[in-house]
Amino acid sequence: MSKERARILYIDDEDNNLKAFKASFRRDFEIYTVSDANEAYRLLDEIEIHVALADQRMPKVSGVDFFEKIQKKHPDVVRILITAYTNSQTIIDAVNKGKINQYVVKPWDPQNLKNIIDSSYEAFRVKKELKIKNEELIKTNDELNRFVYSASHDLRAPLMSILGLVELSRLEKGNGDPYVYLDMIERSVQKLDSFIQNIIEYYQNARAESNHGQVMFESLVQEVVETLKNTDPTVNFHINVQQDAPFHSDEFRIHVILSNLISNAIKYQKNDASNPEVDIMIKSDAQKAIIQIKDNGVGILQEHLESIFKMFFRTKTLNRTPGTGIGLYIVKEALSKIGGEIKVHSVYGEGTSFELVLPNLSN
Amino acid sequence: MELPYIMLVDDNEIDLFLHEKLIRLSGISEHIVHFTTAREALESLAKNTVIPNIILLDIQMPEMDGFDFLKVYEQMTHINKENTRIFMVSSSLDFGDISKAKANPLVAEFIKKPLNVKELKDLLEK
Repeated sequence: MSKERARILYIDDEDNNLKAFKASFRRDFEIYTVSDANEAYRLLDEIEIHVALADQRMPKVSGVDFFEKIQKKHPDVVRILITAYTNSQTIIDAVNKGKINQYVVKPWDPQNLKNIIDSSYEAFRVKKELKIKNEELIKTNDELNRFVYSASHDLRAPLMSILGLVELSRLEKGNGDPYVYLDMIERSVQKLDSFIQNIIEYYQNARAESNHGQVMFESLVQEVVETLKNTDPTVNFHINVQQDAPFHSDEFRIHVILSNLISNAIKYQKNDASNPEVDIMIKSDAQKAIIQIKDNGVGILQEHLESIFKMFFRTKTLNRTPGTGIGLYIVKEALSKIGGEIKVHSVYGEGTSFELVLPNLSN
Repeated sequence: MELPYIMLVDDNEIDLFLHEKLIRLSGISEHIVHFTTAREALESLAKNTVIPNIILLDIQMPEMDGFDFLKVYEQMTHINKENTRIFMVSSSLDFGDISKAKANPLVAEFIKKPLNVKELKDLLEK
């Protein structure tokens, strides 16, 4: 994370103080000076302020009152009270009500105040980083829980099928048709294997560093389709790529996204489809790329549309190879890494269409 | 003694095949119907007057799982629940799922996959 400049708000009713403050520190910090509390509230709503300084003696709202008021809405802002009068009640209120972090006595010494602001900003940054790390931990933990739950079923189910088949062969003492059982064992093994591959793909995607480079959509789409089309040779592909400008993004992630979506479009065709089709349309310019992947397959039930991007969520499929519930989750994760968005539209029994917008990161 | 009428509900077709075979081989029953979705099984229960004596119900199924099945089944007033025993079946080791299955008053027993013929026979013929 690159260290950004500290954003400082200073509120004081005396214009000269504001000017002096700005003159002293304008090279060190991004400074916002206001003389009125209402203006300060508005500013705090619009700009993420890191450190706020307030003069205690102001005609309408005192510094302590000001801090007390912003506490709830902006709890992370580091609060510094500046005052010329050290009266003990003010100090008590400042600590108890205003929950101030620092107390500065006027007239302030520029070097000293700079040090105070520096360390306040550092405190803000550490607190914020901790918050982000905590959120990541909650997410990882949640994924782990889902994973353990899913492992106890999805990883185990094919193994238990195989064990059952072994038991059955033993019971029949060689009287059954071994090839039927071998087929079933093979199917179970493939199911387990695709689940494992998906999990590995997910973690590779989650961990991989972003690697920005030029993306040539035409060749990328051709490559993905080429690899996938053998899984169902009956599907007709319509590919329409219009790339008007060089496009910069993370090619690996776009590859992952396209592979998953196109693979789904092939997999979730109707069993008896007479003309299974997958339409891929890409239009990109200097700002963004719009990608549409549309199929005339089984579609998704309306009530499932909200859940399809969750880890290990599966909808009932009308064909024999149900998904592992991880593909679209990978898509969403990959999209969040390159700042893209996805929308889905589907009619059950008629087909599904995904529309993606990816920002061109060349700027 | 008349052999029981058995319904199997499981989204995994291999397991359906397996369970049906095991039940036949062990001589538990010859009268078996099976469904790959809870919805189809419920539809069959709703329109038929002959109700199975035993239902082997898988827990994890997409769209409508075993527990969802039980909620609808409970509302079916034309079925005398005394005459039908439901066994929940799963390969899951999830403590929550197993406890939930065992706690449900409609469920006679929880059975772990893979099904063992002897265990199955003992349970179903009890």
